[in-house]
Amino acid sequence: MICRDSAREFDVGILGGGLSGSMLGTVLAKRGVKVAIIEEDEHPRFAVGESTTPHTSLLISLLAEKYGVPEIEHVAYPERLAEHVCTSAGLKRYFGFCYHRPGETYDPAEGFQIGTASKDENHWFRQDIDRYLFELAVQHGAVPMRKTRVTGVEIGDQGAMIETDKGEVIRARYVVDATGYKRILARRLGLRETPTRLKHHSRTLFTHMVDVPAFQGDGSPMPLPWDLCTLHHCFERGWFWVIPFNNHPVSTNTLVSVGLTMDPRRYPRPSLSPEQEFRQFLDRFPSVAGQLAGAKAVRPWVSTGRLQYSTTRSTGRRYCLMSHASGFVDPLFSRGMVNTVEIILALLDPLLNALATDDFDEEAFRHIDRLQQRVLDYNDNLVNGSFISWSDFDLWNAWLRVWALGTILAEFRLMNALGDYTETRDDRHIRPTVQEPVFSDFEDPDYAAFFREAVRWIEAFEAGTLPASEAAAHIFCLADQYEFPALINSEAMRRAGWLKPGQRMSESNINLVRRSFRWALTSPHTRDLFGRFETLCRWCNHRPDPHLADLSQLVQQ
Amino acid sequence: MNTSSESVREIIRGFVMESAQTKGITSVTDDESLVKNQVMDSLEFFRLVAFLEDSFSVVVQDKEILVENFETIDAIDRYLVSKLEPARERQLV
Repeated sequence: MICRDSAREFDVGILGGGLSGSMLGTVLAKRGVKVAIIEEDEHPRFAVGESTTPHTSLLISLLAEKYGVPEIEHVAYPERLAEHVCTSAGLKRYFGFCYHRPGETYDPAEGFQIGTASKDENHWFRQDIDRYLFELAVQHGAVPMRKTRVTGVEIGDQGAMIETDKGEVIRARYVVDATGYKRILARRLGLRETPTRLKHHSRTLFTHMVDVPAFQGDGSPMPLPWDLCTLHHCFERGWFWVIPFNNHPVSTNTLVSVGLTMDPRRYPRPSLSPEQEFRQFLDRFPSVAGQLAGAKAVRPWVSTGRLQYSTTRSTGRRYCLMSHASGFVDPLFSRGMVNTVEIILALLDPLLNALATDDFDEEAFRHIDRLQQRVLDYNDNLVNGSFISWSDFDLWNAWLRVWALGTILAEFRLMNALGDYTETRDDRHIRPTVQEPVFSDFEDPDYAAFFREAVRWIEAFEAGTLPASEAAAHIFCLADQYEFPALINSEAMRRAGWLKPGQRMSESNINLVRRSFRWALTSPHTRDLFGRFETLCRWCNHRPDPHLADLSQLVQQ
Repeated sequence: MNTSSESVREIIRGFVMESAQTKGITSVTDDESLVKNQVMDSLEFFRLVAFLEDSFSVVVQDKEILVENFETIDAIDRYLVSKLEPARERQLV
C-alpha cells in the first residue's frame, strides 16, 4: 500500500536512466516538463547495444532538430561525439558479414562489406554515452534518483504512484518504463506475453575484450580492412559480433565488444562457463579462432537464456512501456537503437499534448503500441529469416538483400523528411504517410508486400517444401523486380552529413547513383557494397566484384 | 563554350581543385591518381560526370564510367576529347 500524503509530484516518472530514459528525459525537461528519472544503478555502468546505423543517426538528428536539443545529436556524428562526449567510441564505416562453416577455413568469396552511408556510424562505448545522456537530462532539469529501486507502482485515473526502496513515494501524471529487459511495468501490470509469439530463438554470451586483432579474412579481396566495421561472423543458426572501440583515430579505448548469439534449440546451454563455451565455438570455426583465440576478456562474461520476449500491449492509461521494456528480438542488424529512438519520437508529441491538456485518453497513444508491435514482428521475421538462411550461403546472400533494400530505402526517405523538416519546420514532412508499413513510418510503400513475399519463400525452405537454391532464386527475382525509388536531394544529404558543405548533387547525379546502386543491391554477384569510385564504376557497368568474376561466368553458363 | 584542348583541361582541373580544396589539398598534378590519393570521393566522381555532361554537352554512358577514364586529370581530358572530337568533325562537315 503506497502512502499518498508524502508523495513528491512530477509530470512524468521515467523508470530507468539508461539511454532511452535519459534521451526522453532530456527532451521532456527541455520542454519544461517536471521529470523524475529513477535509476536502479549509477553511471558509468556496463550496457550493450553499441552499434549505430544511418537510420538511428537520422532519427537522433530529427529528435534534436524537432525539439531543439542539438546536444543529443552529438552522439550521432563521430567527430562531434569525440569532441563533445567522449573519446572512447569506435568507428563503423560499414556492416561486415563473413560466412563460416564448421571445421572449414573462411572462403573470401563469402564476405560482404555494406557501407553505412557517406557518413561514418559509431560504436558506442555505452557506459560513456549513457552517462553523457543521463547528465544531459539532469542539466536540462530532470530530477535524478540514482541507486534507487522501484518497489511498487500503482496506476490510477489521476496518475501513477511509484514507491522506491528509499521509502520515497513519487506521484507522476504519466509513467514510462525504460528499464529494458527488466520490464518493471510489464511484470507489475501483467502485460508479459507468455509464451511469447516471437518465432525467433536465440541466447547470447558477451563481454569486452582486449588483444583482438583485425580479422584477416584469409587473403580478403575486399577493399577495406575488417576492423572498420561492425563485424558479424555468421554460421548455421548463430553469429559472433566484433565491435571495436579502438578503431577511431582519436580513440583512447583499447576494448573490443565481442559476443556470440545462437539458437538454443540447436546449441543447448552446456554445463560450461561462458568463456569455455565461447572457446568451444572458436574450436568449430578456425578463421574466427584466428581472430579471437588470443583475446582476453576484461570483464565478466554475461550469458543469457532465451533473449526473445514480448508484451500483449505497451501503452495504456497513463503509461508506456518503451522499446526494450516492451519487447526484444536479437541484436542482429543493430536494430535495437533504431527502435528506441523511433519510440521516443512517437511518444513525445502525444505525451506533451496530454500533459498540456490533462487529457490522457489511451487512444492518443494507441499508435505507439501498434508501432512497437509491428517493429517487433518485423525484427522477428528479419532475424528469424537470417538464422534460417545461414544453413546455405546463397540463401543468405539473397536474404541480406531483403534487409538492405528495406533499410536503405527507409534511410533515404527519412533523410529527405529530415532535410525538408529542417528547412520548413512543417510537421507534414515527418508525419507517417505509408499505409500499413511493415516496420518504419519512413519505409518505401512497396516494401511491405516485398518483405512478406520474401518471408514466405524463406519459410517455405524452412518447412522443407523448397530447396535453398530455389528459395534464393525466388528472393533474388523479387528483388530484381523491386522499383528502388530512392528519391534524394542535396539539401537533405547535407543536413544528414552525407554531403560536405559546398557539395551539390544534381538530378542526373542522383539518377546515376540510383541506377547503379540498385543493380548492385539486387545482383547475386556483388559483395563489395561500399561506395568507392572503383566499385561504383563496376556497378555502372554491371560487372561483378573482380573476385567473383569466375563464379559469375559459371552461373551464366 | 570554347572547348580548345587547353580550356577543356582547365575546366576539368577547376572542378577537381574545388573538390581537392575541401580536403585541404592545394595541388594536384595532371597524372596523379585522384582515386588513390583521395583527391575525390565517390560522390564527387559522380558529380564530375554530371558536370562534364552539363559543361560540354556530352552524354556519358554508364558503360563509359570506368576507372581508366576518370582516374587522373590526363585521363579525363583524353576521354572527353575523344567524346568531343566526333562532334567537332560533324560540325566541320
